[in-house]
Amino acid sequence: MTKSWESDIKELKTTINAEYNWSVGACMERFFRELKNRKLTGVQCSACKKVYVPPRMICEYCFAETKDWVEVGPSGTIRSYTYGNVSVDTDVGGLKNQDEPEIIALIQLDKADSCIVHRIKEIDIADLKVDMRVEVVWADETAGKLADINYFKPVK
Amino acid sequence: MRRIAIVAYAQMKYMQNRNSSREVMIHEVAHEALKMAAISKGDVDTVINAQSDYLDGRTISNMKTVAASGAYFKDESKIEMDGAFAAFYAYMRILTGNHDVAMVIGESMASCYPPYLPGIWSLDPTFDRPNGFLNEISAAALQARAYMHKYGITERQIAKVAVKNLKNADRNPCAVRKMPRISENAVLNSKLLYEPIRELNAYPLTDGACAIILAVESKARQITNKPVWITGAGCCHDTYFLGERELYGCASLERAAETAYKMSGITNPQKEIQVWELHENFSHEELIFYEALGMCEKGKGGQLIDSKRTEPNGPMPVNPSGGALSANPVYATGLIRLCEVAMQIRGEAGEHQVKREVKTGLAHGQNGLCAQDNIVFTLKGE
Repeated sequence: MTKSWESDIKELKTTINAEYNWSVGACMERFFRELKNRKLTGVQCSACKKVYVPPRMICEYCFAETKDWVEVGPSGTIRSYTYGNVSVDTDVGGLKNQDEPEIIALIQLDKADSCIVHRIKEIDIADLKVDMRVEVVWADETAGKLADINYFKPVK
Repeated sequence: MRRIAIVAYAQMKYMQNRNSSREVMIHEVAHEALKMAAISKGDVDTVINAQSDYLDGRTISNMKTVAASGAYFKDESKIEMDGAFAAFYAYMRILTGNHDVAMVIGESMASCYPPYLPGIWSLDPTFDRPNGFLNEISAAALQARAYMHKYGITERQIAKVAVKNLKNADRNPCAVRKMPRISENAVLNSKLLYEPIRELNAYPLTDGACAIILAVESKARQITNKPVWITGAGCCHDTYFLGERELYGCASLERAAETAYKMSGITNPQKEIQVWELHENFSHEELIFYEALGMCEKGKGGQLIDSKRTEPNGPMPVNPSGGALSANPVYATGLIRLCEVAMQIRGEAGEHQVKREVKTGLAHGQNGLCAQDNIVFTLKGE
């Protein structure tokens, strides 16, 4: 039961501003560098031969090192999708309405075994389908950053 | 191996905004659980809290809640996972023989932390987090679509889960979202969040706490004549990377259940388990969990909800409490499932007590995007 003295208590709003310096690791470093060259890269497990994108140093299934670099994409296949009529308000939390729904998809790039999550443009929502073929659209200028991958669009 | 039972429990009326503090909620359920067991703080050997620094906005969030949970000058620990995992931790501590009685508490306040941001902070900071596409709901939507596509499950079948659980919630005095007159069309017409997830398919933001007391057999028999024995427990973690999981299923829950069934000697869960409390953050998850727990064949979750067999008066009642769709105080939710199964087995669930005899039950907890980690307990009365 809410006790009488609990009602009408002022809320104290406090903020934690924390900036972290993440080492991206050797694999992601190479992934970022290759973005500048407009290449999508994955790594292959030395044991099970699965190709991971984004790349990482260990295959958790085999507990083996991933050693061989594989160029993946630039096309891929939509394995699942959604579009958001809302988005998370990254300033204060909660949901806010999204004027233009953003289409998000799980995309399995060609030659990769895993999927990445990215946005799809140049398509009507009604035409979206699982198993649809899409291709990467690069930023006008690539700089070795995540934003180099602008979006994916249907393969014509 | 030592036999261990749930001997007492406490829930509270879950709210959207309790307008109070975590410490007050924790103290309330800890106090109520002790009162039910008719023991004092001094009789408790170890206290395990389930809470999160990110949800509390404070590093080592349990430092401040030692007092409220009755852990002053005791063996106390915290798990930054769902409360069902805290129960697992407490269970193991009693199994060691070093402790006989454990208090387990899970809690959080959505009215305090920035909703959905802790979920985003759980993402890979080198890729998915800066990309900004994933959050709890968009990830769940990708899972729902993958499941629907794989097995031809319809939005209407998914809506039936919300209808069942939110109707059940009307009979649960603790539930925050009660909708006795909800219809499938009301779910299908509720606000679209991330397609196909609609507002009534997604958990409500909730403030709340739950506590249970576990005791070894000799103490359990002194405390209660209705101990609820833990007969099996299993947990399993899937990969962190969403893009590597088969999202149309829940392999880690399958494995967790296998372990718990093996430990308790359950060979036919559909017949041997009489009540099921599942931690479904989103409607479609309940259908995926049916399949992973062996309640039906793969791909038949839609047919199982159609058959009404998981209604409170059916042969496999699932979430007679209303489940997580009716109240989801993050990190308490899985512990609430344990508490609810104990209430059903003891015949203490009041208006939401299932009518058939309940001597056994299954409680499930989960963490992470699209239920990355899963834990299953099988429970049995005298």
